[in-house]
Amino acid sequence: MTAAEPSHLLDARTALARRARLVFIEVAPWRVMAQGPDPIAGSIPDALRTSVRSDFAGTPTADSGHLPLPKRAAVRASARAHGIGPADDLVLYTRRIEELSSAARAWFVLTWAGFRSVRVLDGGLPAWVRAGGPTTRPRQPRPAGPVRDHVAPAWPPGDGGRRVLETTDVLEIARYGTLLDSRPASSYGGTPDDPRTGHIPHAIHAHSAELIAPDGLLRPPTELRKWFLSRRAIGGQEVGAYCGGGVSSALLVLAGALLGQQVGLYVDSWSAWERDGSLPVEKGAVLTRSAAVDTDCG
Amino acid sequence: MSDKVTVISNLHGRTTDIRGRYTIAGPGFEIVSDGSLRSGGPGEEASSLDLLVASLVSCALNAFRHDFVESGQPERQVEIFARIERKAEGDYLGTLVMECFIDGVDHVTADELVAEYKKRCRIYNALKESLPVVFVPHTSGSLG
Repeated sequence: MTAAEPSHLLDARTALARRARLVFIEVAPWRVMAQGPDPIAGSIPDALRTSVRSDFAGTPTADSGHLPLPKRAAVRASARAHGIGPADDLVLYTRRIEELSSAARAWFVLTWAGFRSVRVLDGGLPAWVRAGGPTTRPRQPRPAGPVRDHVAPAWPPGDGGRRVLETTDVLEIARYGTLLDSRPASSYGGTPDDPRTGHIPHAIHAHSAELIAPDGLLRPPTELRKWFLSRRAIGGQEVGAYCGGGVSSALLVLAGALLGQQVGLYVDSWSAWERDGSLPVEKGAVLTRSAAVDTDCG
Repeated sequence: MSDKVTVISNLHGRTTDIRGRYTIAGPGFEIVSDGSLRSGGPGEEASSLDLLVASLVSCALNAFRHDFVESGQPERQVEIFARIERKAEGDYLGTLVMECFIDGVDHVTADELVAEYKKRCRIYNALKESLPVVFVPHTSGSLG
């Protein structure tokens, strides 16, 4: 178990009270996540508008998933162009709660790129409105400007506590640790007539939508911990997560960080795995045990 | 102390038609247990190690449910998530971590419940040198 990190989640009331000191970033998902018209007309005033595909993903390659990580330098340069530096207090949100994982993906990328204070607004824009937060018409991206603190940004070394998993890491974690598959059950189970559907062998089904409570907020810490414990995802073993393209699984990484459990993210995810015929695939809903782990007494 | 002997557990274990699968029966119950995949068993049902952990979990659930509950008061709801951690190729049993969610108690009472369990549970005391146990008590609201 890793040490608990500073909170990565911000409730709407606190965000509202401290809004003058915060930089709000609205994150649009890479695809439509919710049906019907947008129920809220405006955005948080002065929020910077971004999207997963253009701001928090790089260009796909033949070997990568469909939403690979962008270059660190590109993330930093893009932020600088908007006048944002590593010391700014960033708050990420989505317009709809069904899109929350997109804010989690942005959180992953920004912390990995070295931004020190990055938090996800719990409940997104709906929670902001419920808390009495004002909205204005969505604005165009802010013009380029100087970094707010008027000093040359000092980027911290390392990966901000985030772990990016490669294929070899995933194979190892599936054998010895805990690998979580955050896609819906139908994707996890696969279809009989397509050999490249299903899941990575020994991965545990952990649908990320279950992390959100009926009120649209992330589940309380006790519930989150039980949810992770029941999926063998708390402990000293390595824990990893994947989905289709490293977005919904980013929500598992965020929830893990809230609990003090590091969860590595296989960004390439299933969209890369399924294309490589040399990689093993398992079908069905039943969890299988790795033969590498000795569960006998001797 | 009387030297009269009594039998406190009486089980019958046997192999089955499935390679590496065993049944263990007692009066009124039957448990199915599997050898690991590594040893040629199915590795699906409870392993021998699972059964060892289960005995400690069962005992702890029983203790935390009613220890220090005053007469007439409702008994507690308890959940325990138990895991054994060890190095992948370690030749020792490992460390058992028991995360215990005990409703309706504060941290002080939770610590007292754990202390009482450690003092009284014969299974825990018989195993603790070879299988260290770490209790992580969570009380109502302790994570909130």
